Amino acid sequence: MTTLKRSERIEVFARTARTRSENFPADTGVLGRLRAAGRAAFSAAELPNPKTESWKYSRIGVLLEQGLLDRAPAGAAATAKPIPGLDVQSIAIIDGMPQPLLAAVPGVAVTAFSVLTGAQAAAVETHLGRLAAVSERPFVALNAALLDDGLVIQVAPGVDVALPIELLLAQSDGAAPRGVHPRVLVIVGRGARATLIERHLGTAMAFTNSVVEVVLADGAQLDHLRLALDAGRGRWLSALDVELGHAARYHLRQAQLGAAFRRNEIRIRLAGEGAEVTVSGAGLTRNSDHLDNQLCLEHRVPRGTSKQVFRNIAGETSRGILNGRIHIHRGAQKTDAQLHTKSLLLSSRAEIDVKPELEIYADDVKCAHGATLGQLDANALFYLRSRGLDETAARTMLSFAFLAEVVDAFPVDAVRAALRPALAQAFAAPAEEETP
Amino acid sequence: MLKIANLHATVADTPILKGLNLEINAGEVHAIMGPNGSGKSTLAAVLAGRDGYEVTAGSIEYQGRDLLALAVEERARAGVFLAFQYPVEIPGVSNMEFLRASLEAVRSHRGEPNLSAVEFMKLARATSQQLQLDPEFLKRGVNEGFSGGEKKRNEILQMLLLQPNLAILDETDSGLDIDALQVVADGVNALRSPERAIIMVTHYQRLLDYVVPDYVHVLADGCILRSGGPELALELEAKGYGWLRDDAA
Ligand SMILES: Nc1ncnc2c1ncn2[C@@H]1O[C@H](COP(=O)(O)OP(=O)(O)O)[C@@H](O)[C@H]1O
Ligand SMILES: [Mg+2]
Repeated sequence: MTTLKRSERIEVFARTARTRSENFPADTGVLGRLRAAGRAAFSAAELPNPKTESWKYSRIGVLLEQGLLDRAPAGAAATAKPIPGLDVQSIAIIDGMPQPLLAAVPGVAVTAFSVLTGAQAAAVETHLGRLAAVSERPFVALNAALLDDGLVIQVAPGVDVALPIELLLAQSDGAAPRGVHPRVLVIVGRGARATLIERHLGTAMAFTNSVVEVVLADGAQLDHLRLALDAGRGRWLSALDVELGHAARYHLRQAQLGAAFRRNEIRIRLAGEGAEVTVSGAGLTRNSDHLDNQLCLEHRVPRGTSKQVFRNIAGETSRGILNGRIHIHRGAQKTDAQLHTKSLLLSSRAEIDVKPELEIYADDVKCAHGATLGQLDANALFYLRSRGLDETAARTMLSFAFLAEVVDAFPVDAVRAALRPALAQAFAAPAEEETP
Repeated sequence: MLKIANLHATVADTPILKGLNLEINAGEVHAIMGPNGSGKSTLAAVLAGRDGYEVTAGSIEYQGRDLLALAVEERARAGVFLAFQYPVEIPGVSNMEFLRASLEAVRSHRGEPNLSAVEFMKLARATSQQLQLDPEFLKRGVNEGFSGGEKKRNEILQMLLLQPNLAILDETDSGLDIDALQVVADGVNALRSPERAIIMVTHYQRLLDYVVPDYVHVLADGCILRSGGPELALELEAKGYGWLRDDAA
């Protein structure tokens, strides 16, 4: 193995990416235009370096390893276990490649970028890349430059879609390292309502660089669950860019385990008056796992509310990061924004870095934030022990409860029922031997 | 079963129990009454082994062993049960998983086999129903959002599942309406047996009408001021505590 300096590795990575991006066949459609914009922006962008503030705790090194820009072999299979008892319309993107749909649900249209034409193409392009803009976001640019294809999910205006839409972003099980660039645009029409269950699946040594854009028209509502419960060697970098129209509602619920690298860059824009956002997240890292959530809530107009609640637990030598930025623009009066985080360290070598960042340019707003590094409640501990549980069992039960409390409030019964045992298992698993 | 001799205990360096003596035999029910702040809950906490309650003198013997040498959970497994005056809410832990873990810990200590999930469910549901507690409460977080009366019934539910040798009920009757009181009293009476002993801390004669004690003690200023039979409680109900102090003086 060659040992290159970080700057050299970054240079090799960037050069390889540019070469790859030039190898796509010419395409005059949506896909071609997206790739061209991505390629140009990536060439102009600088990859994060050790001085880049937002990457302070997420070192880019694990993304630069050899093979993480290679294309996935075609036709690889992924093992996606269904959530027991959950009826869904499932949409899969395996190794970055959208899979054919089995059936469609009334009111929901799912279309690959590669087949978009005419008016539909034009409608999609008014949003695509607008929220997840490529400038100054090298990995978003990279996604656009290297994507194989993407999907647009459109929920028709006024439709209340009862059946949840399951979006699988899966890595195939293959051993070869690779880089994949899933891309999804979700458009929820005026007054429509839907549930999206996004699952990140796979443990292979692969770089998944996904971009999901969500547009909520006036009065639309989306319950967005994001489940990332496969630890392992995967490198997951996920951009999620959301825009809410007038009186739209967006509820994001994340349940995540760490992985070799897992980072979510979430930007939510309240662009219409009276929009409402709730975000809740439960994160658990074990061993040497990494889990980074970078959030930015932008209140651009008056009377928006946002409420964020996070719980993170870190064990062994793992690291959890939470950066919660709330930006209240000038004129966004009567905004009510809250951010509450609680963290719990299970080991003296684990680390959780929490940073709220408030930028407030309006004067008539409510903005509250609180961050605590959790101690287990002594009364609860005594109560459990007084019923015969030994101290270790009592501590374990309370630590897990710390996460479960958030997860127990998730919508969709079957998801909730599946989450508890999945998290409990990850929580109870013995620590891995440390590899130097 | 329980022999408390010359017990002195402090909380945050303040002496609360000041030479308390009490002896309880298997099969007996003792009521402890006394003014607020006299040390009743402190005694209960010391018996259960709560942190922060320091025994500075005296001894407690339980079934021939030094109770104070046992950890909290060892006492519980040995059959000591405290029904809390203020049961603790634990969101995120379901009542069911809590009860099951607790029962497993206590049963395995006694050398009894674990119940299967189905057997446990049946037992927990039946006991809930006996206490007129909707079995839906088993699915909720431990005491989470329970009313005062529901919390107290949940304590008795735990007591009936764990079948302790020594049950200490700290104001379990406070805040209960008359129907709930009857249900709780039935639960306590169901536990009553020649092998077990029960200590009931209470302010009210009401409970003692349903669960008739063998002995009544008055705890004041950290000592047992007077002991007697059930008639002492009636006297207290009529006259309050003042006359005892005057008597003692
Ligand atoms: N954790 C504590 N910290 C400080 N003081 C306490 C604590 N618990 C009890 N006390 C004090 O000890 C005394 C006895 O309290 P307690 O045993 O609760 O009385 P009772 O149950 O008889 O009403 C009171 O003066 C009370 O304020
Ligand atoms: Mg008390």
